[in-house]
Amino acid sequence: MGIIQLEGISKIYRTKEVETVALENVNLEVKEREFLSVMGPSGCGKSTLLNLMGLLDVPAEGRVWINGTDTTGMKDGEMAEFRNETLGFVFQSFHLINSLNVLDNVELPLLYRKSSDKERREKAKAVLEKVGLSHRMRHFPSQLSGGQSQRVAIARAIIGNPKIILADEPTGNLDSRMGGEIMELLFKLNEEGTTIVMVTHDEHIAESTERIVRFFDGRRVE
Amino acid sequence: MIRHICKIIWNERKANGWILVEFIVVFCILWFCCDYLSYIVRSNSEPVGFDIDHTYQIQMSRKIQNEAPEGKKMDNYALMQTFVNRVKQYPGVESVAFSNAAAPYLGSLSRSSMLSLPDSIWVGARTRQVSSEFFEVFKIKPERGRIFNWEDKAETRNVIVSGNRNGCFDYFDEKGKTVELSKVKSFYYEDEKTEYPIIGVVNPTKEDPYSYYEPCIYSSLDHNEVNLESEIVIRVSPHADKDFAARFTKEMRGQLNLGPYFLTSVTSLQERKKEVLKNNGITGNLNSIYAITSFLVINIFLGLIGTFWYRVQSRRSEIGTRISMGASKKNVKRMLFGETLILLFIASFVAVNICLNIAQTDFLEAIGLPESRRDYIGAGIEQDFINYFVTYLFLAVVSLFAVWYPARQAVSVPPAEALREE
Amino acid sequence: MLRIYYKQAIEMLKQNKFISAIAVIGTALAIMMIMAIIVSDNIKTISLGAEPNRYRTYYVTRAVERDTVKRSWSAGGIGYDHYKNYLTDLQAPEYTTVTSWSSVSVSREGHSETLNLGVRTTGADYWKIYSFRFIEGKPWGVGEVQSGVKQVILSESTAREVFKGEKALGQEVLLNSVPYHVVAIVEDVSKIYDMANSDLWIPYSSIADYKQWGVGSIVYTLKNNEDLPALDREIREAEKRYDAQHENKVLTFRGPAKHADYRLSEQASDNEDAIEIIRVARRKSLFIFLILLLVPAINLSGLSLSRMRKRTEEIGVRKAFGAKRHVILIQVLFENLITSLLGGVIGLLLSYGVIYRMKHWLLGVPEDSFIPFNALISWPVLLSVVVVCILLNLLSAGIPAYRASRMNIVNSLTQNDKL
Repeated sequence: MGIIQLEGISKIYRTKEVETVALENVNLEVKEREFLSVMGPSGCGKSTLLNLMGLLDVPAEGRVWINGTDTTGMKDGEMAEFRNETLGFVFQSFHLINSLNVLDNVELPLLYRKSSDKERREKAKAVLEKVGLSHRMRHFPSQLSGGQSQRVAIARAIIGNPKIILADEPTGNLDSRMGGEIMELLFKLNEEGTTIVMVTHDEHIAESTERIVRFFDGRRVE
Repeated sequence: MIRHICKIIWNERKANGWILVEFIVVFCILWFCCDYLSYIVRSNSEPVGFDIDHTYQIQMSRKIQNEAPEGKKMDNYALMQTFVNRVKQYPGVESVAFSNAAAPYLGSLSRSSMLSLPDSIWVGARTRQVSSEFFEVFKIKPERGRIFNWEDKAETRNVIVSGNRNGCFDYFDEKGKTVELSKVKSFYYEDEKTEYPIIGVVNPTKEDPYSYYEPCIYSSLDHNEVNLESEIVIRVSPHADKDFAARFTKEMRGQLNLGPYFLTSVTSLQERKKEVLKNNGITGNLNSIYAITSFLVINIFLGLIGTFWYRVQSRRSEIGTRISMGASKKNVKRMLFGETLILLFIASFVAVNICLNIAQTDFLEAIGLPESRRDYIGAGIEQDFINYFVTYLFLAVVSLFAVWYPARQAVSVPPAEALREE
Repeated sequence: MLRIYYKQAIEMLKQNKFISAIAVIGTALAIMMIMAIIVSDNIKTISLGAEPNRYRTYYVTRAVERDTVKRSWSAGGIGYDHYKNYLTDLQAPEYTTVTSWSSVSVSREGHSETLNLGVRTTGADYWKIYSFRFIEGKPWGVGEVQSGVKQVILSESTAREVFKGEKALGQEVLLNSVPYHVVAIVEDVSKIYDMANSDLWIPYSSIADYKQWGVGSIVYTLKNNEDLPALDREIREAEKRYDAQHENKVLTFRGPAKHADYRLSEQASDNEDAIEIIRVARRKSLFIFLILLLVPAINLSGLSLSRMRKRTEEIGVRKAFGAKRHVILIQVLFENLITSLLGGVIGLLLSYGVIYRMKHWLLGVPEDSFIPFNALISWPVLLSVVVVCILLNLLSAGIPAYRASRMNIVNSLTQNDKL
């Protein structure tokens, strides 16, 4: 069994008037240490897929196995613990907290587990070093460029040593040079043993990864 | 976690400023409300010294006659005895007392200064002229010595005393200096030559629940001074105390037409007490305090609920991010509650300093606001701590209730949606 | 222009029901408290109904006599001697009268029933200063008062209670066992008219020993309030005359006090003290108004700022299309005024409810007394509710409006500028 295993996943969004099928009977296996790209036009359900893998959402039907555990019917607290320890997130629009400085933003995941102030501080410094931003620790998100923001977001994603990183169009808001830097960072993490699932629009970037799955209209087409 | 919350509060200081200022203002006002209420509660918990349950005042009046017939002196003492006999025969009446400027809540009082012996100290005290049954009517308990009776004729001038909070007399002209009751044996009034020996000590009394224990000297009512327009108070047995006033008035009106006197009214002292409290402003003060407290509480409630509602909305993506980083719903709620309590704590710190400084000045008196009388209840610095904790707890509970709704809103949004671009 | 603002404001109120409700409730609550105070104060001082001359009526309520040798002092109501020899026949007043109130037992010859009722003693001019509706009969004049006839005027409900439907006029009642002749029946007077209200009225001179008992309070009405200094001067001169005629005595009359103040000044030990008591009372009301305005204002300011923060972009757009600073300022204030007025109307209605339920506390009258409608709604009340609304609006939206008007266009369009 893969580190992420989706079995017969369906997801339907209902509003008063319309019912939108976001995903329909999707099966997918992500192997450990794999770098997987998910591709497809907007609205094909790829973001929904990532949210389900990230336990930010629950499927209408089917089961999500992560790291050998069936997440069906998990309570809020358990899911939170899982996200905190096993998963790391990188978003297209960074989602840094504007009212916190870089260091505090990076520390965030450790805030939700047992760790001392000193330990948090040291680990945060270490991961910022790794993404090459240790000189920007005291800056606020509004003072950073897009590429820098995304590197902070990656530092935040890896501070908790997650087995899996879920990246939702990490280069979508960046120019190609910055995008390239971010991809290099992700490749390096993958080499070090992190499983990465990345949603992207960019054919060129997708092709640089190990495997591509394609979605169309809520269905896996490849 | 607390440090983390402090950082957020600091970085959001512009939005927090308003709520902080409001917290400070409200905290200060509630502090003084709490101070006053403590004084009321603590005063109330201490006995007045008079038991006025089942007691009544009987009021008699003189008929308005153009001219009293000359040369016919009334024997007031005999009239009084007839009165007592008739009243005592009425079922349920236990004791009947006459007094001048003595019974509580009847509105008349007299104070005077006396030279106390053997140490020749001028002391000030409340003076009461009473018949011996006065102590039975109000269940005033002897602590030492004995209580005089009608046979203690006026010439012996025996007096009974009671002390202040600490069992002392207060100096007449030097504030704060006291002399113990046991060190005083007798008195001289200013312009008299007669000595008044103390034969007994009774429990201390206050004018009303919110007053202070005032030293008091009870002297026996002179037979010649008694008339039916003095204060007349009676005690009724509890089981007879139902519609007593109305019944008594109806059945006794005829019997109590004594000479020129007739019965005007029978009023329970509990009722008198209510009137007194209304008139001395305590009831009004309490009403004002309840009104202003409710007003402030509703305001702080509305303010917090509104502020946090906006805050939660503008921080939707932040909350989504936190959840994706592994925060549980509980964590998020706790963070919002924590923010509130820390804001309140900061405000309370500022407010306490303001309050303690205001309390040093006569600001409250200058603007005529009700003041707590700490000296009346023997309260000290511990009252400041009580005020602080009560006010803090009270505001904390209100604030948590206010933040509860926005916090629930915050975590009810699915994280996937919260993270989606606006 | 205002119509468009109005439309937008209403639309925003609708879109954001929750916050709108909070703002309206907050405003209504503040205005309810403030108006409850203003309306009850107005009821206590308005010249209306049975007391149409309150605005030019002045009271002398107490006399304090100090003995400079014995160093003792005695205080009490105005004595007959004070009234007759010093305080009557002054030049300044239009009318002068005396009045006092006490309770009396009322019965009829041959009937066992006795009622405890309130009786007011009056002089002749009393009936000119206060306004009563006479159902039957007419009041006494100077002649009757001088001769001390035992006449009584009953209120309608007293007549009904005592005579049980029999014709009361011309009959006799016993007041503290003394027979009085009923000369008139008047309509009941609301208890909010504290100097006119009573169950029965009798001439002060009908009481047997009124020369020892005193006459209570003296009431003056002036033709014109400009005569007040003259009245004050005459009273002070009367004190001096008294002191000159009585060795070692210093007399002070408490007053002349306005209708609004005479009760407060009754607690004072002397006239300076009375002024201080009134000053403290003014400061107290000012402080209470300040709290009642300021706390909601802070509250609403915070809310308005949050609301403006969400509208940064809109304001940027408006400015980009040429809105000047003061236009933005006016728009924000106007939008907020709609909330304030809405809250104001609700608050005013609620304040009537509060007054109705808490008559005793706010007006000092028994809970069962009735309040005439025109004492509740009057021009001063309506004017003050508008003033309070505008004041609260300025306090609660002033800073947000100012900040919004000063915002930098580029920053507000990119939403980088935080209010």
